[in-house]
Amino acid sequence: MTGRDLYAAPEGRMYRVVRVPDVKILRSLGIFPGAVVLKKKRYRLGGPVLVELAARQIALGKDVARSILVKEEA
Amino acid sequence: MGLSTAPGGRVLEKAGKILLVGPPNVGKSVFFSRLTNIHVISSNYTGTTVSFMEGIYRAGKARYTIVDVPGTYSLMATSPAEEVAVSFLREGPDAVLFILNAADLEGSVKLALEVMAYQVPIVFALNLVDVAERKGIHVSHAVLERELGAPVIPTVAVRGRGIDALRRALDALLEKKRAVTSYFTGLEGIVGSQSALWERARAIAKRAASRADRRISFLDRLGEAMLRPWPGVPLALLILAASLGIVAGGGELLRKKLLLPLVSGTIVPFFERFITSLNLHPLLESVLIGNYGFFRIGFEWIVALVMPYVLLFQVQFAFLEDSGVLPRLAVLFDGIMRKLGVQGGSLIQMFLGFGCAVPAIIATRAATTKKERLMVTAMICFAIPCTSQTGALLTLLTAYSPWLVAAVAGVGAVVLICVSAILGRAIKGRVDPLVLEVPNLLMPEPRSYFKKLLARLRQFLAEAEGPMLIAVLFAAILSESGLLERIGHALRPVVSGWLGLPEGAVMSLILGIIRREMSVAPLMELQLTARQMFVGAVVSLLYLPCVSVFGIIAKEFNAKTAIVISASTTATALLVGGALNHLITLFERVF
Repeated sequence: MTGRDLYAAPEGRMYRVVRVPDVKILRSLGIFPGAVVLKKKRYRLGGPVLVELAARQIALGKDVARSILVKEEA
Repeated sequence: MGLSTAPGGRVLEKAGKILLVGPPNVGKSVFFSRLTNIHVISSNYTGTTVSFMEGIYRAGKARYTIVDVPGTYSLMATSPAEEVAVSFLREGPDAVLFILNAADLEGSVKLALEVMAYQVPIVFALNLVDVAERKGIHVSHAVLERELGAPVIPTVAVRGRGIDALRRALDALLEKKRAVTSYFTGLEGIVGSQSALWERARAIAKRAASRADRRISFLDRLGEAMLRPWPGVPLALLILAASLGIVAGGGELLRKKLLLPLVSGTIVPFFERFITSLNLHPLLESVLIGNYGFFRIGFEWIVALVMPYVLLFQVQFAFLEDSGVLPRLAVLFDGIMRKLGVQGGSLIQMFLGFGCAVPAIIATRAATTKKERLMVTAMICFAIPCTSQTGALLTLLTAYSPWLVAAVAGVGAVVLICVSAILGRAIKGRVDPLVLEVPNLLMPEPRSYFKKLLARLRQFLAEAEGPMLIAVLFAAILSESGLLERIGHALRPVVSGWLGLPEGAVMSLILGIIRREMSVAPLMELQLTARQMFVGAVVSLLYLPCVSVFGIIAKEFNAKTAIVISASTTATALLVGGALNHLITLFERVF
């Protein structure tokens, strides 16, 4: 196991993206293997995950966040 | 969300084209409205559902067409909007005006690199420098100019700062008309790879931007707060309540204090005197100015009942749209929308549906799968009343009790949930999860705000005026000729027997076909009991979409879809309305 999914990862920490699903818009927004994101928040009741990378804030629905693999960044 | 369709592709054949390119939320439309004159048109790109704006730019004696290319995050041509952006670049424009985001340099430089790979003459505006400064980011445009090899003009477009300098740089570029060999070498190897482009962009951004710690501004703090469930959700509900208040309360005020006195005190009496003085045939006279005469209900319904609500809906929606509030609502309510089988972004389209279903259905083009589009469209058709219908319903129901409004809204919500549950299972395919960049909160810029508002209102008039006038004429002829009584008699089992409404309410069902809000207006002329009001309002809410909506569904999907949606909404309206009527009657008898 090289990492865990972004949905389950604890909030408020930096993560390096290990694997992303084949969703084109993710790469356009800068989420690809190697990118470093801050997981700001996970919304309750099946809500999305809010991440920050560079100066952008991006909301990722539960199902897409679950299929993004990340590793905690020191 | 352009509605009018110019003959597709026409713009491509015009000589002298400037492309306005940039990522979403960078304020492109503000540049567009600052650089063009008032005459702008919205067109559809040939063979696509992607619409764009075009306007005229004057450089000395020369005239150019500025095309506001749809904002995208990349040029991989994987979505219709990206394909359109790529086609425009391939056509070889005279110049490209690229808008960089100083507050997100990395992201906008990444897209800029993709554009520069097309070897087009280019000038950069470095916009939102104020937003960047308030976040403590300082961008050196000189460094950026060197890195990108093309002019970079710092701007704050909403305040008009830097626009003159930008015009000069653009004019100089157009005058030179130099053949571009390459501003930027070494792009060949990385253009195909998004991660390589991001790396290069990050390196450039790092050299050009420096960060300092800044006290976080009020707008940024508010923007952050609106993203947290507390206080975000209460704030969101407050905003929704306020916008309903503006539309419903303001509309009622306009109607009662200004339009109704004007219409029934001045306009209608004028036509009354004028038409009776002509000594026409009595039937013609009553069709024109009788109780349901064309000139009477035409003004009473269209001017005093529909217009105030439409105007105020557009006023508040355009504001919410320009301020960056809507994406925050999409994020906060994504969880709920996901349970309904769609995603947070659909909320924006459904909210737009409270204005009018036609632009809302066009906006569902943003959906990534066919299933999502179909679901959102059906949900809007079933249970989202348009603004003038909402206004009419509120006027009708609050006259009796605000509780009736809540009851009707409750029925609408239950139907919405049922529809989404059924369609989620019945339609094959999937709905993609939310992936949404949350823009900074902004104070809308008055100039482009009013330009947009005006364009929207013009569009509404152009599209709705005809059907509304036809509905009114139809109503006048039906009722004044006595035909209505006969139809009412024939439909008595349905209208009176099943729905428990007076015969005259048949007018509602007939007019609702032409314009949705017109199904409420006739109810106001009848003396209804609370039960009848409730049933009538529910039927009107759920009733079939009007002719314009039918038309747009047929155009955007196909005729079969339009027929299926219309038939099922009508059946639901009659079924639910009748069932409620009988339930309440039973209840009344028992107690």
